[in-house]
Amino acid sequence: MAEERYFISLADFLGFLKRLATEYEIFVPSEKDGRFHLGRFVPEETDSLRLNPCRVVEPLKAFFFPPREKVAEYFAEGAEPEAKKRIIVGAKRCDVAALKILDFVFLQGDFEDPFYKSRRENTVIISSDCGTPVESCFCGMFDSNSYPVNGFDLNLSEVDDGFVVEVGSETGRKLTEGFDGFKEATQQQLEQRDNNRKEADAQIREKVGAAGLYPAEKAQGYLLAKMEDAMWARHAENCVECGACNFVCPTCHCFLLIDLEEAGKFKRFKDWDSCQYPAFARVAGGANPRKRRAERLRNRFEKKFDFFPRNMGSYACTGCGRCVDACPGKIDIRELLKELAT
Amino acid sequence: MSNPYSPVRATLEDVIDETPNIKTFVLKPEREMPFKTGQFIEMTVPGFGEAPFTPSSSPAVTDRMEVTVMRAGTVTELLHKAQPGAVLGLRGPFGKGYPVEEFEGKEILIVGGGVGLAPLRSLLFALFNEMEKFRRVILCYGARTPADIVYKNQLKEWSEREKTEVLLTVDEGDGEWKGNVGVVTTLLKQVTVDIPNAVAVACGPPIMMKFTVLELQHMGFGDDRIYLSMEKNMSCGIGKCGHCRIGSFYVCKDGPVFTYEQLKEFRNIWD
Ligand code: SF4
Ligand code: SF4
Ligand code: FES
Repeated sequence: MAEERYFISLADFLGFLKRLATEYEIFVPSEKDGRFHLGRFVPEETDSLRLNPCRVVEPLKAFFFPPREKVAEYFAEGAEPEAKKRIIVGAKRCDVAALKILDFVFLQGDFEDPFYKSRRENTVIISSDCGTPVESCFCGMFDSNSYPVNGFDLNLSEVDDGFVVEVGSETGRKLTEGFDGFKEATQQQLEQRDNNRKEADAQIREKVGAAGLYPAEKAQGYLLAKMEDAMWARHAENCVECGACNFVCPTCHCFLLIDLEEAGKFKRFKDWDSCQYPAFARVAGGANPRKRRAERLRNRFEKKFDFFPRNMGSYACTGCGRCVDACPGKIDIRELLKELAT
Repeated sequence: MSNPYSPVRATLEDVIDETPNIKTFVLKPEREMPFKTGQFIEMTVPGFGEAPFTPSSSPAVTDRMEVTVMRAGTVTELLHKAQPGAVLGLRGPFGKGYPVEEFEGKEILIVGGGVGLAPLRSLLFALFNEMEKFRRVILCYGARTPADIVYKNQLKEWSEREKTEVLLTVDEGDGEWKGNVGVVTTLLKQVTVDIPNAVAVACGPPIMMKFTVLELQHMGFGDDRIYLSMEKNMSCGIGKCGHCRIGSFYVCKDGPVFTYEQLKEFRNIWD
């Protein structure tokens, strides 16, 4: 399929969102204290839009795999509700890469997670190119592109006065149809996009080198050679077992099923869980294969850099750096990855 | 849209006391839940939570299911208080069971410890259902004391079946016990097995499995002929929640039955 792309002015893009807002709940980036977050798009109050130059603070996973979700009200079968129709504007390359990992977890294998599936099918992803990476980004370790090449419905590349829009799916195409704000992109606009991309690519690659990191292919081998190293205990010293690294991670998918009785109804919830919690691996009889923090820290790396490549053929880390920003113990995944290679 | 997180309602029809802390629950699920021997289910105490168990009944019986449970945690504590008529929930079956087809034409050495005889009883029923296909079944079973032996009457029955041997041991005897005293591996030293034409299947507490594997290897069993039922803290049962990882596997979807060959590269599998 030839790349299908348009130009849309900022004003027209806002008009486009306003039109879609009757049918979809829309989330757009906004800046607060120098950091970007996703928030509800309120058509009446919005006359401008600033795209995030880099990933937002929160992982996208919460849209598809919320911190707590009711997954059954049992012995009283009704149909599960369809997920709300949503549009997310401002997903980044690392965000769509993380969704591929969650898709593997929740949609592949003998069982599909119907809740994830419904949310995924009802959510439109409008991604955008990265400009300037934030301090903690090291995505260049995993992918040398600063922009997504697939995994989105529409992708936006900022150019003068608006965006070059690339269509990435049938859903994306349908949305553009019948809205005359989408114009043919000029050669000049496409060139501007390509130049911006080259510049951003160079920036993310440079960050990988500056952090002392290496191409991701090597991480699995380095890790396996360091499984018994003292580094785990040393770094885990600072871990307060808060689980923040897991909760902000766009690929961490672990959860626990929790049952409650409420007003005579039996409910089951799927709650985010953290492999850094002491009881994560404990069995009913009390045995716990990962009693020490060092073992649990190592577990996070083993899962991301050995389990996933073996099972999915890809690392379960996108280099987004969210865990670096979130950890109160200042445990920095880049430092650990670097140390693996020494 | 089928919801893999939602349990099927099941009525508790009978509770059989096996030992002071082990009971067998006879359940009738609202719809039939056929399973392959060695696969596991999640049993729900409504409004409270779930725990994974491998049914101990014959896979040929699809309208009832028996689950043998040792009191070991909060869910099992509640289960032990349940009376006939109680409503429980069942999800499953999940995972890969025993590859019974691969046992055809072979001698099958089955090693059980404690409540670990539960999944093995289901396997025994499956084997007995088509015993013409197998050369011989040897069951070595160990319990802590004579009072801790499960399925006492059936053990006797089985020992009288043709092509079947049953050897028992206890860690500590009592006044009446005349049988073997010692851990289950002491029984393995007493059996003669045609090793090249045999497979071994083990289930029990981790420490027992660990030493059983060593003894089986010592007897000459290849690692790919040693089948183990692994226990981990399963939650979802369907390979999503991440709780039950051993190395590159999830016990819930890649197991619970593994060969030792599959697992031996991973550290601390018995912890
Ligand atoms: S965020 Fe840091 S302190 Fe919290 S659990 Fe993760 S490693 Fe430990
Ligand atoms: S491990 Fe850290 S850097 Fe990697 S994807 Fe998760 S949050 Fe991002
Ligand atoms: S029990 Fe959830 S992944 Fe195995």
